[in-house]
This record gives sequence, structure tokens and C-alpha cells, in this order.
Amino acid sequence: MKTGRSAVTLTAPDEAETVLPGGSGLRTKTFTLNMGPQHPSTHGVLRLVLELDGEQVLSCVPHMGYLHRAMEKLAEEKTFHQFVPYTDRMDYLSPFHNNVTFMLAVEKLCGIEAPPRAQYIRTVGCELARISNHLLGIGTWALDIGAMTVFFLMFREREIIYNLFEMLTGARMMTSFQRVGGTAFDMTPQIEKAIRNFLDYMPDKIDDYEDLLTKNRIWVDRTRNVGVITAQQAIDLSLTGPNLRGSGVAWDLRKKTPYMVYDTFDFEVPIGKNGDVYDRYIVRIQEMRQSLRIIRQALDGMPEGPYQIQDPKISLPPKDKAYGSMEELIHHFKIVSEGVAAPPGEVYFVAENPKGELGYYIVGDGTSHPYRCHVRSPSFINLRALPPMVEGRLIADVIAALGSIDIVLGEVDR
Amino acid sequence: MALEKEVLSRILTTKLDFALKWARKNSVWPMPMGISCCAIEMMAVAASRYDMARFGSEVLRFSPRQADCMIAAGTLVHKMAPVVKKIYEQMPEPKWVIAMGTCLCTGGMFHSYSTVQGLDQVIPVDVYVPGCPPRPENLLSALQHIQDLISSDELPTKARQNHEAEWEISRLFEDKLARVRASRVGRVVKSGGRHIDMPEVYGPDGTLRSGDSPLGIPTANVKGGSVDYAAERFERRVGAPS
Repeated sequence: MKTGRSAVTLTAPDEAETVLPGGSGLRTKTFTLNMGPQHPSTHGVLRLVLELDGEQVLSCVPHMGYLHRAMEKLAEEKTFHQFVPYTDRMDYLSPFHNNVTFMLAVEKLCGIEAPPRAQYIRTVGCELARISNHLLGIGTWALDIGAMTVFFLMFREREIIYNLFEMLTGARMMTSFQRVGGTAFDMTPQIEKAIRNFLDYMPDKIDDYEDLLTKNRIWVDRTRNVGVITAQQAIDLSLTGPNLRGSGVAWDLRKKTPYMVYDTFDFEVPIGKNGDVYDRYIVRIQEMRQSLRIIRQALDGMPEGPYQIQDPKISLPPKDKAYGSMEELIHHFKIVSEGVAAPPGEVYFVAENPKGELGYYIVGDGTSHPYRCHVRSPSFINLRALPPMVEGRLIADVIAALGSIDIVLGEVDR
Repeated sequence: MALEKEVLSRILTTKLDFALKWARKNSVWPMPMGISCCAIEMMAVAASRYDMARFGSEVLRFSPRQADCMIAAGTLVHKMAPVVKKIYEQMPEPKWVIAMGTCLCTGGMFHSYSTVQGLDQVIPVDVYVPGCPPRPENLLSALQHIQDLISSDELPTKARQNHEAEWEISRLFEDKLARVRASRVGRVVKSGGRHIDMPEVYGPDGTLRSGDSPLGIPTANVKGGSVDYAAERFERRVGAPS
């Protein structure tokens, strides 16, 4: 993070004194404020070193690494299946989507594609994860700005999504649902019915949030024209996801380079105009509505058939066959003990995660472990946009801007 | 006379002590030390459905000076460890610590160069909550363990002063690693947590659906809930036992 560092480190204390305007001749000093790593509004363990002149932010330097868990290094000693739980814990607000993106990268490396039913189940889960991510993102952000009711309302709906995930995957939060060549389980009719109920229930609730925030005078005053990033700046900072679209750039990988079955669905990509904090909020709200549309279409178009590739080298054989036949037993043993081997080569796959473009760069060496696994995490790169957003603004705007870029520290530090 | 005075004073002291403990136990102010994933479940505990306010702990204090129970949730890495220790030291006595999540119990799945293998390597822990992340019920259960500790005669500071000392341990836990650690320090919440009555839930049409969540989605606590779905799915995949 280069921006503004000179203001913090290179200026000697006595040189930092400036004469107040207005001819009073009073001298003032800048003030360094350490925000975090334990601060409720930093959404985790981010540390911001702010150089202040009164209430005005002169420079903002994010310090990271308070949650560095060495995910990329751990990937090198795990099989692809074993690494799936780690992807859960990278962006722990939308674990399902992280699983899917990683598995799509592995499948690209292996040169296989999951059967259509698995793709549809994945799409439904991904969009549910997107809704749940935006619910938490907006909820905590509103809480930081002072609107506590929104947080409670949004958590109510998040709990319902948690229940849906629990029915589908067996876990509330950390789903670990993906396997090479498909999903872990099938989607039963009960689950489909529950999701359809949710689809009928949710639009009204989104209206409720909009009633509370969209025209709320306090919310608008705190967010409009705050933290402005122009379209060109956003592209230069390589922002992705709602942060990029809030600046008016209609870039969504689900449209631009459709993966899975996104090209079969009819949905819109909401974009903002001014690139301020308010626009990023509007984009997230609209994305939730579009996600509901996608889920409905995915449920309607869900094909019958297997949810895993029917290849004994890749997916586990049915239990009755594994117990009864020698060959199936050997396949079962090989997959469980060694994992699915990927051919040598390197692959980069990027998908539109709720927070932006999540990319996995995997180098395979012919074994079931990645030789190297690099993660292009959207939060890490979006965090880069914070200093240009807040420099020259008031300190209260730091909170609003930080909430609007919707970072999660597990992904920033990895 | 002197004896009578002593007896009276003793009775008075005990009762005051009891009243203090009662008040303290029902107004635990937690300091949410949210580090990573588990913090989201901690927020869920504070939010609508699980509602920590039912146990008198809705006053989450982000300033350690105003809190008496640290709920540490997430993975502790070496860079963060001094921060957590400092925050713990800033909390006024008496104070308690809940280590939420397997990462803080034993290091968990992050056996890497950067991760501290358990919170008790940095600060003393009173209750361990294994799980990755633990369900909200488990955290509520841990909070009740803390309440038990407060109302028990043993002062937490005294027990914490000698880490290796004997400590009342709940024997109802399953995690073997956690048991090894628990034998040294604190209590462990057993997986599944205590049974906690869920509040009544209303459906989207406003009608009461007792024991059922909105939209007809059963909760895990209820017979026929999602745990049963998992069992059913398992059976379908594995085949019913013959």
C-alpha cells in the first residue's frame, strides 16, 4: 500500500505542524490514529493507521496479516478434496461459492465437467450464498453507520438461508459441499420446496430493507457522495464485483464469460452511476433480487440425472457396489486414500463471487495435490480502493467506505 | 458476644456474596473478540433467532474495560496473539474467557507456521467450545457454563493462577484433543450443546408454527429437522443397514 505512506513516515514531527488558515497564527499538528486490529467496524482484524488533521483524514494505510493462516501453503499438502474445507474458511460469508469456484478450477485442470444436474444445484447454492453474503455485508455496514434494526432483520433471513444450507449440505455455514465432478449429495424435493418457499418470502423482506435504508435521510446523508470511485479509477485499481459495478462498469463474469449454466438464465447486471457508497449499496440490493430470479429459473430448469460424474476413477462408487465387488472396492479405496489425481499442467479459473472475482491458479504435477495454489482474492484487491476513497474526507466516512467495499479478512490475509 | 457477632457477620457476608454472584451471573457483559469465521456464528448468537439477551448478555462491549467475559472466536495467528493478550489484560477482574472454535481450542485444521495452536498458549481459558464453527447453541451452552462458574464457590482467578491445578471438568464431551486440553485447564462444551428451548416462531402468514421455523423449514432441534434429512440422505447413499 503505497498511497499516503510518505505522510506517515517521512515527515518529521516538527515539519508536520501547519498554520491554521484564517490568519490566527495558531499552529496545529497532525495526529496518528490507530484503528484496529480490534475494532467493531473493521469487519475483522484489519488495522488502519490514519493520519488526521483534526477530523480530516490525510492518509490511510491498511495493515494486514492479522489473520494470515497460510492457506496457499497448506494447499500444497492437501488433496483437492481435503482443500475444500479451507476454501470455506477463506470467504466465510459465502463458503458455498468458494467451494464451487475452487472445484471448477480443479475440474478445468482435470479436463472434466460436472453433469448438468450438479451444475444447477451449484448455481442455486451459489446464488443463495450471494444473498446471504450481501445480507451480512449490508447488515453490519448499516450497524456501523447506526441503523441497528437492519442488522437484526437481515440476520433473521440469514438464519433461514442457513437452514436451507443445512438441509442441502448438512452444515449451517461451512458447507464443503463440492466434490471433483459433482456435488456431495443430491437435492431432494423437500429442499427444493423449502427453497421455493424462501423465494416467495424473500422479495417482501428486501422491500423492508429498502424501506429502512434507501430513502432514509440519515443513511443517504452518510453514504451519498462519500467514497467516490470513478469508473476509470475502479478499472485502474482492478476492482471487481459490486464495487466495480457501483462505479458504473457493467462487468459481470456471469455475463461476460459464462461458466456453469449462467448463460441459460435471464437476469440483469445492476450498475450504479456515481460510484459512491450509496450506489454500492443499491447494487447489492438489486443483486439480491436478481439472485432470486436466477434461483427460480435454476429450480424450474433443474434436469434429472446424476449429480456426480459416472466415472469410477473420479467419484466414489455406490456403497452397495463397494461392499460387493472387488473392483469397486479398489476404486473406493484409491479415491479415499489418494484422492483424485489431476494431470500435470497449470490452470487459472476465475468466477464472479459475491465480493468480486475469485480466481484460483493451480499448478498440477500429476498427483492429487496441487503443486502450487494461488488465490486471487477479491477482498484483498478491493481493499486497495480504501485509501483513495477516504483521503481528504472526514473520519466518520472511513467507516461508511470500509463497509461499502465489503471485505472479509479471511480472504484478505488468506 | 464476640461469637454472635462473628456468626452474624458470616451469615451476612455469605448472603451478600450470593446476591453478588446472582447479579453478576445474570448480567455477563461479553467482549466479542471476533477474529474470523466463528465471529459470524457469534453474531448469530447475538442476533434475532438465538438472542443472547435471554441470558442477560446482550450488552456486547467492544471496549475491554467494560466487559467481564471475553468470547474469543476465530483463528489466532502469531501477529494477532499479542493483541488478544493485551486486550485480556485490559479487562477488569473478575473475568472469564470462552475459547470458541476448534482453532482456539487446539489449533484445529490450521497446523501452519503462522497459527497459534490454541488460545490457552496465550491467555487462560475457562470454557472451550469445539466445533468448526460451533453451532450457536454450543456458544449459549458455554455462556451457561460461565454462569455456573460464577455462581460456584470457586473464584476463577484462583483457579487460573495455577494452570495445572485441578479444575472441575465436565465429563460430557467427545473431542479427544479437547479432552486432553480440558484435563489441564477448563471445561468443554459437549458437541450439540445443552438443550435450549427455541422461541416460538411465526410463519410468513403470521400464524404460530410451534417448533417449526418460518417457511416450513424444520430446524435442527426438532424431530424431522435437517439433522434427520442428513440421516436420510446418508441412508440413501450408504444403504440402510441390513
